[in-house]
Amino acid sequence: MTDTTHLVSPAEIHQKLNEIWESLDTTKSTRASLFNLIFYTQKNNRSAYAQKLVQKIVEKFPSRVIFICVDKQSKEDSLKTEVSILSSKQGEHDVACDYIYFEASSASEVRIPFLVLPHILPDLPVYLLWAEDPSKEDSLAPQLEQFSNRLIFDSESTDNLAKFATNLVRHFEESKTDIADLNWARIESWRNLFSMAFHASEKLEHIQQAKKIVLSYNAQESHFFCHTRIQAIYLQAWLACQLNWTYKSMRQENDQVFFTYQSPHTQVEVQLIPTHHSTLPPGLILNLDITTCDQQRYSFSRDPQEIHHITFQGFNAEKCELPTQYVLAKAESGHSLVNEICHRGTSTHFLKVLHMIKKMELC
Amino acid sequence: MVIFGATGDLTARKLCPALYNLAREGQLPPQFACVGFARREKSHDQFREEMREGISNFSRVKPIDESLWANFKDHLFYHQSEFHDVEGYKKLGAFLQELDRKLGTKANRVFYLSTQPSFFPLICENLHRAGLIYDTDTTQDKWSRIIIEKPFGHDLKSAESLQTELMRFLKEKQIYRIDHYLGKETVQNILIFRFANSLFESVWNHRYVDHMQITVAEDIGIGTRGNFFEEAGLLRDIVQNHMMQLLCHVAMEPPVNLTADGIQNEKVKVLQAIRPLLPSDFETSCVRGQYGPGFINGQQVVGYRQEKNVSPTSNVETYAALRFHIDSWRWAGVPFYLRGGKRLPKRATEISVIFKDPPGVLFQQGEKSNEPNTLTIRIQPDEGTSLKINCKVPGPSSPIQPVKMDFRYGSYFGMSPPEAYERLIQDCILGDNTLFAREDEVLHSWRLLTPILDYWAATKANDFPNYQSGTWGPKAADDMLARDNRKWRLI
Repeated sequence: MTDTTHLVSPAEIHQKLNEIWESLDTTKSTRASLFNLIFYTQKNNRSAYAQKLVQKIVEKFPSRVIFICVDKQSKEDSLKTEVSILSSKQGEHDVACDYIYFEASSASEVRIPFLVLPHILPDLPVYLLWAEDPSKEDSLAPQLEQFSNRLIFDSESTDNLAKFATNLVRHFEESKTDIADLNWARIESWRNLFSMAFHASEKLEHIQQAKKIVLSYNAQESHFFCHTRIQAIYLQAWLACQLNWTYKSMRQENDQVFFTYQSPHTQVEVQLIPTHHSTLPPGLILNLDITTCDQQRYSFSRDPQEIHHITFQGFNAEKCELPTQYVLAKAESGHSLVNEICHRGTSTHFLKVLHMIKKMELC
Repeated sequence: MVIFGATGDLTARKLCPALYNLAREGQLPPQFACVGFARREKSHDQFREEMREGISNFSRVKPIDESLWANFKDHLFYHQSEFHDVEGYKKLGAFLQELDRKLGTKANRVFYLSTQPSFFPLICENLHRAGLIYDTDTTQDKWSRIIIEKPFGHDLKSAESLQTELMRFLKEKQIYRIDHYLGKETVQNILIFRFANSLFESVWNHRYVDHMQITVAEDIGIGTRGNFFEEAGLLRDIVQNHMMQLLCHVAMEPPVNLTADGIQNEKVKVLQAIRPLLPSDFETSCVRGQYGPGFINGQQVVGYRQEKNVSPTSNVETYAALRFHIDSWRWAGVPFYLRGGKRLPKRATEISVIFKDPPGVLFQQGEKSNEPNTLTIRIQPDEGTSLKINCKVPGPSSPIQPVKMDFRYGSYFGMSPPEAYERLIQDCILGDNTLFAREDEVLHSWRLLTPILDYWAATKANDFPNYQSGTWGPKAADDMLARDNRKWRLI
């Protein structure tokens, strides 16, 4: 839904945006900006995904987008600037926002912070979505971070989740700037589901007795996603943190990963099983089974046809509860994802998870 | 109106376009003439052609209206003379009398001194000797007024000395010290905003206001003004006049009436109440900076010391940040932070009132406070006012996000406001000096800033250049606010 894009010189950005807005029918288009979203990505096969993500965010929360794409391969001194508006039809009215695009070669990326700074809308939060691996040093990162209220990362970009977690924790401790991760946000609905399912005190007692958890996820990679087990790792680590388990070890057998924790009651093993579904989003958590010391079992299973529907059932050798169906929030469609990454402070749960993950021998 | 220094930039860029627009809007009397006075040889027609180009390029309304111009140009003239040449003034007098007869200008005179300040006393003396400045005690049927461009002196002593010199030939009511900021609609609106709205004035005090920030930022460097800037520096160029005026407007008490004296009296009270900075404050409440190389609009730009006519070891500041306290009932304990600079990321002049946090912790998010309410008056560009308030994000949980209510002159009134010079020239013609600086305003301002200037002149800034072009100034300016647990607004 990007309207016509205009190639401009950096000095003309403000003027051109005003011209575009003046040319629109203002009775039907509302210019809106809830925050500044600075999106940084390198020119690679994920750039298109980054654009898609931006569109999703501004559809729910129209904001001034400053999209930075750096071509690390290009050694020429080149810089391209474009402006346009992003719109989302909401009823009879268009709610639209400014979109400023900078594409720079590695030789000219030094100019980027100077280009961004004049175009930040005052008095609105500045969110920096850094779509690259923060473990890899990049001179641009600290410069953009210094005027950001929140740093949003994408763990999909990392090959080493433990190192990623270490970096995020360091970022938070050093800058006190709020942090978030897209994959953490994507499992928000699962976390909510657990809270609901185990809200009753007797169920909570049961789950504290867990000794085995089996979690399956969609390991089908796509053009944009290849680190498909991150959401599953996050979810099991979150459970471990919330239940006060201590991380002991992990091992890999074939394509499966096993984590061992020490709970106050027993040793717990978590098994991650990759499955392959080409029609489902990569990394999607499909099923989760919990077995307690006294052989009580809890099962969460996703309906492959209705992927937001989760059936929850508790049972043991003697009795079987009636299944309950939950509908997960459509995180990937925008609202809850954006709420999680943009509006909340740094989640204390997320910080605990990061502290745990940084101890893991993940790669 | 006689413009001294008429071949300078100001005449073509600001003064003539202002006169042209006044004429276009019917605000200029038909019995009007403008005479350019300068040293270069030039014919009336040459001068007119240059002014036409200036109007074409710099008028707020384009293109030039040919029928209007055809009439307007006949009111433009040029008079060549050296500033020190007494004969030149006598000839000017004769020429003005001739114009009085031809155009019916009735011998009323505005002399606009757009020259180097060192010429001000000389020009006034020669005007006086040529009988062009009327004695206000004995002359009732005609008037003569002098508009003086800033800077009025370069420190307290020189300003006092200049004032003494001028008073030999003029009465205070004949002197119009121009600060074009005062002619801006948005500056005039500050008083209306404050005193015509009960909503804001009731919270405009130390009980509700945490602090204020005044920013005058320019993205341009010093351009061709190297010689001037090496003499002046930013404190003299922007802070002593524009920024102190803005400070007066936001901090003053309601005047007893809207006369020039009524308003100027209150402004002077603010300046009197500002706590003078002591030598021990110079390191903690004053920050100076000088721009180094960097990027503006994606283009690499040189540092100040590489600019034309600038010393490669220059100690002159292109950035200044100050913290003042006003010892008044209204403003006890409220710091006023001022910052101004060249080669900052964007051109923006803004006043921000940052309000105190609400009591209680009902909606606090973790250890962090919510964003403070901030009222911002945008003087230029994009003139208007905005108010930042906190708001619940829609959804079942209650994250809080700051949102902005915005009023823009351009959108609401759908017209470009008149240029400051239009209003000020018109006011001078009408004899209203409300929007001009009075002697005591200027002197009080110098009284506050001269100690800082002296200190800076006496101590070399070893860290210059200390900010990159295209950034928001030196780190020391951030540190100054950080020590008070505050930070500059990101504009």
